[in-house]
Amino acid sequence: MFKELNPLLHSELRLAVMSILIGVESADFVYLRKQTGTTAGNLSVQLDKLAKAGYIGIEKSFRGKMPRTVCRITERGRNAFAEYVDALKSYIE
Amino acid sequence: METQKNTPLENRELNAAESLALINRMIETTRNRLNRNSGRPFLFWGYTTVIISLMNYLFNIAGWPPSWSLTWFLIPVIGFLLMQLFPAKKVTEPRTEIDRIVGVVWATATLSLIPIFAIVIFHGLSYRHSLFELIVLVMAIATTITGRIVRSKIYIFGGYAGMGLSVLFALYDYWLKRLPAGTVDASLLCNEILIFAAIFVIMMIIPGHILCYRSNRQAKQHHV
Repeated sequence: MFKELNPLLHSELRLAVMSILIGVESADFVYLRKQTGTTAGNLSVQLDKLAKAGYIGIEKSFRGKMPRTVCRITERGRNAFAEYVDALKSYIE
Repeated sequence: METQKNTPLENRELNAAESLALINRMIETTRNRLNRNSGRPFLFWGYTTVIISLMNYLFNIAGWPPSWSLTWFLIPVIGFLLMQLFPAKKVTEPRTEIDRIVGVVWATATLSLIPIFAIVIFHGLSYRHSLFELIVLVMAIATTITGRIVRSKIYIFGGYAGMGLSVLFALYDYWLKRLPAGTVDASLLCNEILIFAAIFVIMMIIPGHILCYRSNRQAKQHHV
């Protein structure tokens, strides 16, 4: 029996972001953009979706005069990711 | 694994196998990236400590005024500056829980040097060898804990080697005390500085070079 896949995570870009954040304490917007190879605008939209779902937290600050956006996964995001991977297994097995 | 730079990720839906492959790729790429330059802090602190130690050895041998021994305090200043100027990670690179824990371990170890200095100053110069011994011991413990946390056998080996070698100060002091009265001169006492420097070479510089070599080779293989 296939489990339902969380539609919010079942998108290439959002899943990539969550996969990066699951292994780190926090990641910079610039790093996420480099790793995913997407545009800043697209990444920004996808991050907002994840943040609205409560899967990630976004902190905006300044380092010197440069704006800096740091993302980190929340407990809710971790649980959602674990459930997503669990559901994926039912498709593979 | 550089595929994400060649093919930007989209908002498309994936099948199960693609999803798992993507998760693996992202986790692996991030992990490889985070392993880079992991030996750099050890090289900075190791070389700074050894160079300042050898400078102080030369000052003592040359009979320069004791005020030159204040240059010992350049170690934290230079080490900190090097860490700020050439960080192991770029500001934009992710910070892991392990980074935080290792940072806390070293901050605590460094803070413990303050009471160690205070203890030795209040006890007087007869506890001089204990200063070297305690510093090595604290740094060796921090190195071993770091090795345990990041699962690095090289750090663990360096840390345990430092712990074991810290006994050399006690043995050397024991040997000095057995020498006939009047034969212990300044140059013999200064050898403790050489022991101190040698331990830092074994505990930090050699492991640091091995780790840098390995992590850079790994990074080239993965082209990250």
